Amino acid sequence: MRKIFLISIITCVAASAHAEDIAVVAAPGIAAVPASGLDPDVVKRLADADRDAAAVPPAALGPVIDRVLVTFESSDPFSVAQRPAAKPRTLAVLTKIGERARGAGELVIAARAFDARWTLGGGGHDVQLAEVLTTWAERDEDAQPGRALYLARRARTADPGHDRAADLDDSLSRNHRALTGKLAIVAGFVALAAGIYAYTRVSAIEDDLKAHPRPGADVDAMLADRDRYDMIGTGLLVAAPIVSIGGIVWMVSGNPSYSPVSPGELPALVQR
Amino acid sequence: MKAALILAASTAACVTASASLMTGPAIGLLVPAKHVEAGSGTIDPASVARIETRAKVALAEATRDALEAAAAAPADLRLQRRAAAMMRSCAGDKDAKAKLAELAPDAPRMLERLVALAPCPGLADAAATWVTFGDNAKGGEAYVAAAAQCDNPEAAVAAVGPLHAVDRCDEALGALRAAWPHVHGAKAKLGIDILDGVTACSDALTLRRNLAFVPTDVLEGYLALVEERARQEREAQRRAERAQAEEAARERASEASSQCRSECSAAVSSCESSCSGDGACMQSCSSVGHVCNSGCGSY
Repeated sequence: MRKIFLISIITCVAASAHAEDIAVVAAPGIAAVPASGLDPDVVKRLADADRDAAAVPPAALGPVIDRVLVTFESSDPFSVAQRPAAKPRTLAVLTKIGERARGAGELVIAARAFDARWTLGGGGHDVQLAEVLTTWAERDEDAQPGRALYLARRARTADPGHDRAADLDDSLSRNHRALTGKLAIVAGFVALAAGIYAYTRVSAIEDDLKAHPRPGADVDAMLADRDRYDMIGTGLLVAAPIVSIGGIVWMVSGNPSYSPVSPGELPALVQR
Repeated sequence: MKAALILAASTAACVTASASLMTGPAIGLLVPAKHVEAGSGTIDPASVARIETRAKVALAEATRDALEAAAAAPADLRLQRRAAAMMRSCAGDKDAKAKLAELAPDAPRMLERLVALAPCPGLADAAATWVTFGDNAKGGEAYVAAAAQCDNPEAAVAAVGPLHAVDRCDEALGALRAAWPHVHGAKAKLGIDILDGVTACSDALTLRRNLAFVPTDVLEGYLALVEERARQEREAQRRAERAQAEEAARERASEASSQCRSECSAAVSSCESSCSGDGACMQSCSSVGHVCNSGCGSY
């Protein structure tokens, strides 16, 4: 009997709950999705958001976005299970909010709505999102270049063919002083070469004066030339490192000191 | 002549100084200008905080909406049970729990409605929810009631934890005893759970007395199982201790070996310093060093 008891313990396999059921201790599981596909409160939430998306002033559409995304932000198993059924209606409401906000110039709200729609939709091609993000990036380009770069790159991801986003990304990503800085460095080298040449002229004049006897007037003229070459050569040799090092400083000062960082409002949604 | 030499020297110095200052710019010319790295960038900490907060608020709002839906359809058992389950989801996070308390202060009343609507399985749902919210006494009582009213031995097992936590093991033992006759056939695992529940609520002196309701042959089988578990646990503990001791021994040996090598090295240095450059002496010191190191072990 003991043997049978032990064997039955070893071979006992707990019946697994139905995959769609939420397990409860000492009670039958609860269906995660009702027969209708969505629970009444989820349907009501979407209906309320749909109505508010058309009625609420554009500047106050932010909370409507939060409301419509509850099913996608809440981690409870019922919301998670009902996301597929809630998705089409949620996308439609987000589109409505985004278009109204964009029309009213509410860039941030429009970006949030389109960004959430883009995330829910799987991150495909989204021209509207790219347009709004680029406009936002252009607005913040001078004051917040890191943020503008994030927006421009996100816009490019949403629409790789968006020219303005691409231009902005390229512009914000590179050092605008690189070319002028390098030209200054090259100019420094040219000045160094010219200075050395001027000094060789000084030496040549002195050698010539030593080698050939000349009338006093010629000697004076050649000495005046020598002094002029000496002054020019000295000036160029002093200027050469100043110009080159100045070019380096100019170039380094143009290095982008920022990296792309999202604004606090984005990403609008993180899919868990 | 002297003036010419001075002029030539000063010219050379000026050119050298100027040219030497051009080294940096020459390198700068070769180094490519810095670009911002490719990639989508980082998420601002404010954004991360917003996303985390939103998840908690959304959970509380979804639960509040579920409670309202349950209140609007009091005859819908699934909606009542779902609302209770969502309350339990909220209880896992203190922020979401606080937000729910703010959004739906009368949420606990829903549990009473659920129990009244369908004690089976409402009592078990309510019990799980009370326990999750920290009310072990109420949760344990509900589990005991579920065990009695619904012929639910699993509920009797579930009652042990919360009732043990509030020192009310007698009630749990009563429920387990009452549940025992329902265990037969394929429910052997449940039988073990019941007996484990009794064990959890007993000590060495009371275990046999508390298990008196179990047939002798089953009791013997269970005690053998308990003994086997204890043996396995002792064995696992011994293995862990042995592994720990071996690890410690390895570390000690490694330390000793390292110390030995360091002493050999010091001795060789001392030996070599006394050689005053004599090659034969140095070689002899090196040989002694090799012999010394070879005695230090392989660690």
